[in-house]
Amino acid sequence: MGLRPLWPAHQGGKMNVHVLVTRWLCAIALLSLARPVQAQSTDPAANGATEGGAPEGLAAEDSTAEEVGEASGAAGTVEESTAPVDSAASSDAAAPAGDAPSEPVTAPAEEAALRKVTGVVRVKGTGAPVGGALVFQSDNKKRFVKSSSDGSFVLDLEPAAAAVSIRKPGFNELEIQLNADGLVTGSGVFLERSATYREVGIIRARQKTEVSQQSLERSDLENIAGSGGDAVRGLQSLPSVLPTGTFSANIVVRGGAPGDNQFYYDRLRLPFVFHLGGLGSVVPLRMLTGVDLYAGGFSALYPNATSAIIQLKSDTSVPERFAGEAEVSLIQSSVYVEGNMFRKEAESPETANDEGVGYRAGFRRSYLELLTPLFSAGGDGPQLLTVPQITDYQFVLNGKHQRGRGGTWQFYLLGAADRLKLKARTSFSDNAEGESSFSLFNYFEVMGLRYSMQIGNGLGLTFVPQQTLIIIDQRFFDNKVKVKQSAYSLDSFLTKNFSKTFTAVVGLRPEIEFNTTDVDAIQFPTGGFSPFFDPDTAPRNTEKRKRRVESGAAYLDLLFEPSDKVVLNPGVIYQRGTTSYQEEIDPRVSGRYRLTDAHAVKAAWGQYSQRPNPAFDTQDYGNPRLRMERADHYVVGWEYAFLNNWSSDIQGYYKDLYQLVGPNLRNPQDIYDNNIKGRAKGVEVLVKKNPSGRWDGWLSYGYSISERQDPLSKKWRLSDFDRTHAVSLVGKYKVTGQWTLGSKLEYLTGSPYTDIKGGVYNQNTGRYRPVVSGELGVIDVNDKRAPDYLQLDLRSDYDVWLDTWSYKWFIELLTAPLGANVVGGRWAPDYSKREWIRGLPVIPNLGIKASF
Amino acid sequence: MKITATRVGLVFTAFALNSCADSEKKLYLLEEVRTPVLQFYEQVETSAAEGRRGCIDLDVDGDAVAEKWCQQFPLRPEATVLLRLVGLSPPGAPVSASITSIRQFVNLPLGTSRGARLSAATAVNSKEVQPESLSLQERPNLARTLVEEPLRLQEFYFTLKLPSVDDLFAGFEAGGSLPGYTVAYEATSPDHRNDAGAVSFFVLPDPEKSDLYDGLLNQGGDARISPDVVEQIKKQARTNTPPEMSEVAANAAAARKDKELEISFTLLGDPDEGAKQRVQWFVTNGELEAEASAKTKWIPKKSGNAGLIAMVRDLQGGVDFRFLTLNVAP
Repeated sequence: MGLRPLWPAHQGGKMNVHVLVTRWLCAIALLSLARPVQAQSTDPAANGATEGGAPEGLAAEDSTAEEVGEASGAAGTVEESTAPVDSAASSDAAAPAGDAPSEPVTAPAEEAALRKVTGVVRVKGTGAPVGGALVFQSDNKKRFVKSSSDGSFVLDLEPAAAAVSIRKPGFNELEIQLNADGLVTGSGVFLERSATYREVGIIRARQKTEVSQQSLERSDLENIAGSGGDAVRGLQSLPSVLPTGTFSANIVVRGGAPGDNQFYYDRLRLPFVFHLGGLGSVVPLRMLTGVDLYAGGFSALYPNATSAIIQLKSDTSVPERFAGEAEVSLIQSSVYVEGNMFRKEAESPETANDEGVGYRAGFRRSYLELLTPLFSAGGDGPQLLTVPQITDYQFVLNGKHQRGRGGTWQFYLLGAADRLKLKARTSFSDNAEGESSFSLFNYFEVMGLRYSMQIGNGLGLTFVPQQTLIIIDQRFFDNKVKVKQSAYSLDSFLTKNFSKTFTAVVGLRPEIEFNTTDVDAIQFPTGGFSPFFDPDTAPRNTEKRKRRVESGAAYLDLLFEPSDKVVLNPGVIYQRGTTSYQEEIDPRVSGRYRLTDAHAVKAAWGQYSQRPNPAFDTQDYGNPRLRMERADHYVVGWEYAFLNNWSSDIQGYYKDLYQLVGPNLRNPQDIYDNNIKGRAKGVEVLVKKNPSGRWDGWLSYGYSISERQDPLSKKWRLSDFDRTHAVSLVGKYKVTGQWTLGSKLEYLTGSPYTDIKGGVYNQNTGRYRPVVSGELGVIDVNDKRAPDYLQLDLRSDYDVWLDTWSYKWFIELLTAPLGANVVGGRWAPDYSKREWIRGLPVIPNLGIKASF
Repeated sequence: MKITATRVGLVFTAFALNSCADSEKKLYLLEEVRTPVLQFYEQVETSAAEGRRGCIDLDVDGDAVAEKWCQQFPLRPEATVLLRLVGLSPPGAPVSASITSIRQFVNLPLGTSRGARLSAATAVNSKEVQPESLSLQERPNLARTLVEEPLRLQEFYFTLKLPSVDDLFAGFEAGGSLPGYTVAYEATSPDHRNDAGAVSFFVLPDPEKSDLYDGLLNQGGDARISPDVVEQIKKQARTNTPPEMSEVAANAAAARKDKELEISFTLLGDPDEGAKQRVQWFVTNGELEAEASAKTKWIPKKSGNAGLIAMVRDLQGGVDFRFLTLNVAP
C-alpha cells in the first residue's frame, strides 16, 4: 500500500480563508464549552501549520484501528541513561518518512549523554492506550521509537533535545516540551483525534455478501442528522427504504409492508425491533458495529421474510479495557459499559491468546411521561394521564477458546418493554362520561447463544439456540388482547469449504412456540386502519386458548467462486409454518460478475415466503387454513467504484407478491383469506463517498411503484406506503477534530390516500361513514396523494475531551424548508373535507453524551 | 377542543406536532342539516306502555285519539313499526326528508348488538337484493316542526311493514344466517349541504314466542339452520330497554357570551345490561369542552337566543334526546 499524506497540503505558515472560517466557527462553539488545556497540540489540518521540517508522512504499517490495551503507565518521565534505545520498544518501529533511517540510530559517542524519556501515549477523551504511535525527538527525527500496544514508550534523547513529538494516523501530531524534570505533560501524554478521516475507504468497502446489500457502519449511523442516532432510522436514507410514518423508525422496503421484514441481531431473530409506534429501535447503536440491509434477492440463509432483511451486527471482539458512556437527552437516558474479565496473562502457549470474556451491557429508559403536565395543562388540550415509557436492555458476553480447533461464542440477553396508558375525552367515546382509554404493554426478551467451532477439514459448525419471550397486553376501548408466547429455536448450520472456489452451508432451524391467547376484540382489518374501518360495526371475536405451534426451516446455500471475477450463490430453503397449509420450498440464486476492478454487474432471483400475522391464522380469531404469504424477487444491478473513496450502486427490481392475507370473500366465518396480490418495481441509485479528508456522505434515489390488487374489484391500486420518488442527501463534515456538522435533505412523494366524497350518518352508531365514488372493494383505493415531503435536518456534535473521559453535546434541528410538512391527514367528522396535519417548521433535539 | 382518533394516535408518536391547533370542522356546531335521531316505535296498549321507556303519544290514524307508541328493538317479524326521523337545521332552513333506498343483505353475521347493527366490515360478503317483503310508507300527516328558533327541529314519520319469518328464511343458505336490512334517507334544505344517513337492522323473532323458534328449527326441513344458530338468535333477540335521559340542566341566568357555562343531563336508570352509550351534543354557536360527555362546558360565542340539543344512544337501537333554548347575555 502506498503512502498518502495524512492531512491537506496547506501546511505552510499562512492562514487561509478556510482556516479563518473554521476558527470562527470553533470560537462560537467554544464560548460555552470550556476546553481543557494540556500539552501543546498541533492540528495541521485545522491551523495549517506544522513545525518546519516535520516529516511529511508515516509508514503505512498501521492504517487500521488504533491499537489499544491495558493502560499501565502514567505521565512521561525522564531519567539519565547510557543504554541504547530500548530495542524491545522500538523493534517494530518505523522511521519518519523522508530522511529517517529504518532503525533508530544511537552514536556510541553520544550514549553517555543520552536522556531516557518514558511515557504512555493515550487517546485524549478516553484514556485508551495508543499503540504504534511514533515518538521522536522533535529536532532530530532520527531519534524515535514506536509505542507498544499498551501505549508505553522509552526514548533516548540527545542532551540538547527541547521537545518530543508524537505522531499517529488519525490524530493530531503532539509536541511536548522538555524541561529539566522531563516531559512537560501535565497529567499525561494524550493524543487528540484529528479533523480528517483516516484513509480507510478500502477497508470499509468490504465485499458484499448479498446482491442487494447496503451497509452502514456505526460511524455512518451515529451522526446522521435527523436520525437521533437510531440504528434503523438511519437506514431510511438508503434508496427504496421508506418510513412508515413521519416520526417512525419503522421501514418498508421495495413495496413491502412493515411486517414483511425480518430483523436479526447476528443470527438471533428479533420479534420486535421497534419501540411503540416505531419511535426507535430496541437495540441502541452503541451495541452495534453496523447494520446491513438486504433489500431483496437475499440468499437462502434467511427464512420467513418476503421483503427485506435488516442485519444488526454486534461487536464480536473482546473489549480491551473497561469503557462506557451515558447519554441524557430531552426524552431519554441511557448507559453503556463494556470490558473484559477472566483475562489471563500469557503464562503458557495455551493461554497466550486467551482474551478472556468480553462483556457489553446497555440500558435505556425514556421519561417522556414526566412531561405529562405539559400535555394536560389547561382544559383545552388532550388529557393524557401517561405518555409512552420505553425501556430496553442488552447484555452480551463473548469470547473464544483455543482448545480443539478453536471456537468463538457469544451470549445474548436482550429485552424491551413499552408501556402506555391514555385516558381522554373523545368524540367517539361509548360511555356517558365521554372518556376513552387504552393501555398498552409490550415486552419481549431474547436470550440466545451463538457458538461457532472449527471441526477440521474445512468444516465449521454453528449453533444458535434462542429463547424468546413475548408478552402483549393491550386494552383499547373495550378490546382486550393478551398474548404470551415462549418460543424456542435452534438455528444450526454446517459450513464446508470444499475448495477455495466452493463453499456450502446447510442448516436447520426448528422452532416451537407455546402460546397463550386471551382475545376479546373486534375483527381488525388486514391492511391496517383506514376511514372505512368502522370499529362500531366490525364483528367481534373472542379466543382464549393455549396452543403449541411447531414450525421451522431447512436451508442449503452454495457459494461458487470459479474465478476471481465470478461469484454464484444458489440455494434453496424449505419452510413450514404453523400448520400443514403452510409449507413452501423457495429456490434462490444470485450472481456477481466483476468486469474490471471498478465495475461489477449482478443479478438475483428467488422465491420468498413468510408466515401470516399470528393473529390471522389462529383457530377462533383467524383462519387456521391460511397459507404462507409469498413473493418472487427479480434484481439486476451494477456497481461502480471511482476516484479513491467513491462508490455507486444502481439496481433495478421487480417483485411479485401473492397469497397476501385479506378479508375472506368466500366464507365470512373464516374471516381471512390469502386473496390479495401485489407487485412492485423500481430503480435505486446510491452514490457514496466513504469517509476521507473531512467529509463523507451519500446520495440515494429510489423510484418505485408499489401496488396491490383488490380481490373484490380486481383493480390494481397503490399500496399504502407507495412513494414514487425518494431522495436523500446525507453529509457529514468535520470542522475540527472535535466538531462535526451533519445534514440530511430528504424528499418524498406524498403518501397515497383514498378520496372520500362525503359521509353517511350511521344511525346505529351516531357517527358518519365515509363514501367513495366508484368501487371501494376491500382495500383502500388510494387514488390521491398527500403533498410531497421535504425536510432538511441539521446536526452539530461537539466533543469536549478531558484526559480519560469526554462528553459530547449534540443538537439537531429538523426543519421544513418549504413550510411545515404534512405528517398526516384527517377527515372532518362528516367527511365533508380533509385537513392536513402538519409538523412544526422546526423541531429541536438536544442532548449530552459522556464516555470514557 | 375535542380529540379525534387521529389526534390521539399522533399524540404519543409525535408530541411536537401542532395538533393543538384545532381547525377541524366541529360536528357539534349546527351550521348544516343534521339528522341525529332515528327511532323505531311499536304501538302498545296503554297498560303495556306503563313502566316502559321511550314511549310517546301519537295520533297516527288521524282520528284525534292518541295512541301509545314505544321504542322497540329488535324489530319483530310481520310487525308494522313507526320510523321517526328528527332533523336539525339552522333557523329559516326548513328540511325535507325522503327515503332513498331499502336494501337487504344476506348471509351476514348476526353480531352482538341485539340486531341493531350490520357489520360494515363484512358487508362485502353479502349480496344486495331488493326486499320483496319489506315495505315503507311516508306519513306526511305526522310531520311536525317542534322548534323554529334559535334552531329548527323537525320530525318525519314513516311506517314500515316488516317481513314474516318465512320471508326471512326464504333465501337462507347453508352455513349462513339471517338477512339484514338498511334503510337510507336524505334530508335536504335549500342553501345548505344535504345530510344523508342510514339505519341498519335485523328482524328477530320474539324469544318469548317459542313457536316461532320451533318454526326456525324446521326451516328447510333438513335443519339447515342449526340449533346453535337458533340459540344465538334467541340471545340477541331479547327486547332492548332504550336509554332515557333527564332534561338538560344549565344555569340559564349565567349564560353569557364568552363565558363558560356548565351543561349536563343525567341518565335515568341503568343502561340495559351494561349497554354502551354514546352521547352527542349540538349547539347553535360556541365551543364545547367535550361533545360526547353527559356533563360538559359550553362557551357561547354569540349573545341572544341559543339552542342546545343533547342525545344519547345505546348502540342497541335505543335513542333519546332533549333540547334547551336559553338567552345568552352579551
